[in-house]
Amino acid sequence: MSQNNSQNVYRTTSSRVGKMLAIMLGICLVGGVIFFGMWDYWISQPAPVVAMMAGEKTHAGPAEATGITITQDLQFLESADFRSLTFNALIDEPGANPTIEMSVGDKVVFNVVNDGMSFHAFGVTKDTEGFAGIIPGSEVAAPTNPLITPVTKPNIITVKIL
Amino acid sequence: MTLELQKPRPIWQIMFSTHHTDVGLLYLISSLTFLFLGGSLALGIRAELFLPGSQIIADSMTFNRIFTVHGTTLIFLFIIPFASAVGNYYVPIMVRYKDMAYPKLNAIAFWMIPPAGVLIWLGFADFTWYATPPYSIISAPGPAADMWIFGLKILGISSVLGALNFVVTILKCKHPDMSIGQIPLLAWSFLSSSLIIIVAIPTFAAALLMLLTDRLGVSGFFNPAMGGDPISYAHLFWFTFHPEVYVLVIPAIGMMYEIIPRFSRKPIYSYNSGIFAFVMLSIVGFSSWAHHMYATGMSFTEKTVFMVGTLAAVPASAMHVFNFVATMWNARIRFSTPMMWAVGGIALFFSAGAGGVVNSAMPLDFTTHDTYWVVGHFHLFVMGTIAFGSIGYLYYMFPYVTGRMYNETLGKIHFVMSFVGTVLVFFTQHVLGLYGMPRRIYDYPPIPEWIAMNQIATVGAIIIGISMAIFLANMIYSAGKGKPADTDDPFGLGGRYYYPFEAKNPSH
Repeated sequence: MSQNNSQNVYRTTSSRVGKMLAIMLGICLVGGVIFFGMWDYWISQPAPVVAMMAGEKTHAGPAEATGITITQDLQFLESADFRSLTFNALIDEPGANPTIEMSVGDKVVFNVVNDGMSFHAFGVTKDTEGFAGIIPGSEVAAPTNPLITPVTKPNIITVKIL
Repeated sequence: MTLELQKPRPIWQIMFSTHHTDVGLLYLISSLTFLFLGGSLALGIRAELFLPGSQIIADSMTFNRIFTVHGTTLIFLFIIPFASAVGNYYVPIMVRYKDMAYPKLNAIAFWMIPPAGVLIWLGFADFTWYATPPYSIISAPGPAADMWIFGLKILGISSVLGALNFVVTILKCKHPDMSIGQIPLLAWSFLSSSLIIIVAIPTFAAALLMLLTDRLGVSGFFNPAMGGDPISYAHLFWFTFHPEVYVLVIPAIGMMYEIIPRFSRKPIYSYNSGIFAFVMLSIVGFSSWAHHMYATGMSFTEKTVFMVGTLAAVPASAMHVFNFVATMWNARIRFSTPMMWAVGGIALFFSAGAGGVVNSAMPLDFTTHDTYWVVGHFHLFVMGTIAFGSIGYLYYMFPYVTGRMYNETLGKIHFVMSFVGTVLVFFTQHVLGLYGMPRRIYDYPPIPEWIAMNQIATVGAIIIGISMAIFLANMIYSAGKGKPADTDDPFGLGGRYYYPFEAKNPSH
């Protein structure tokens, strides 16, 4: 650091700063074009584990549409102690958690109302219990953007699996 | 003294050089580029939260992607590389060695950063800088999420290589006449933070690998549907990233140890207590990771242990603050721009530390957990302390790097606006947290207090944004056309400054 006094101090020049800025701006511009040009691609592929958990076969073809539409209104409810979470009626009341009969290829429309006290998100799961294995495309809201009471959010899915 | 190149050379020669000042310059430029990129995302976040409802960002996923990349960029692509820039420039000089111990490894460590940055910025993942499982495993879409994981893996390797280089340079390459107790405190800060990196980063590297195999479905470490436990990821993550907070803050404190005695025109009040506090912070950093996880059902005993472990950092931090204040006491202080940033950084460091005591005290943590309080606290550290120390040091090293002086008036305007903006944004976020606003939300209910606080925070962010534009203009203009600096005494402090033993070593 203690240079000999005979050594010159070379100073940065305007052209050198300009070149450096041009390089940085060029990198950012090229990166921006690639990023925005492929906007949908970056978030287009669910993790492989999602298909495994949903039991989706790798070569499953699209379901053949039957033209039948089933509409189901779902009113989400919480018990006072927050221990039971149900649709349309509390757990011991008639009409709770309705069963929907459908076939492969039917279109099912859920009109979901969150009538609970808290934020919630919904999805069709492969498993009968628990939150795991949500079938992609069946989500109604999301944990990061939940359904705020009492907003209605419709969701349409096409049934692929019986 | 000058850190500028020996002679003017084409830029490509600098890019492929292994000399420590050239690699330092590359670190400096890339880190500042990412500072502005990450900072512009912060402005987008604040603009979105100015009012309830969707403002400028179309949907919640885009919002999540923006704040994920904002956090990842500013932590991994600005703060850490900036510290490496300073370390590359100064550590070899401070230990009186011709270069870093492994110059090629040093250049390789730098050149791992651009591809990692490309992976992170092209993908724009959406699972927060914590990569929250199980969301990051079963819901985060690829290839963005996978690109983020690979980007972080590369950055982790880069950090470890850089840290190894600093440790070997300081311990094995220092001049034989120089004892370890004589190297400047800035070099000590790099030794401490490098040792933390070497111990802490491999844990996160393993966690990232497990996250990736979980996404592929070949393992289920953190996937509840496959018998895994997301809380175990939290342990691995925070075992790395609570110490990592000290990796970020310790070099910034080391930079303040350079600035404050110099501009106070006095020796540091207690050199030994500075070393002691660095070493102590390095150790206690590993005794506090689970204070981030009080709400995960830990036992009372576990929480108590980690609360005590966390509070052990308070005396060490207070020693630094006391050291700075005692050095400035009765000194002939010159409040040039670097000194203003350093003193502002100390004030905000103290404020952030006070908030940290609240977080570490488990009864209080349950009130603030996952609220905007945490956002305010963390940002007060990273912006108020680390960025303030770093930017102050950038002003300090600017004449040595470029041979030219920056515009002092613009530097002071930059400081005042940034200080006011920082207080407005991050103090307000503490209050927002006490009002109950959760962190990481795209929209919020129209509660009048929340709206008012968010608007104050957004105005503060705009003030910081304007100040950063002034800073950028000042740096660009002054680098090319600034007044030629007197590189022996660019700040007019009187006398020529020597590092310990420097006069004996003409090699630099």
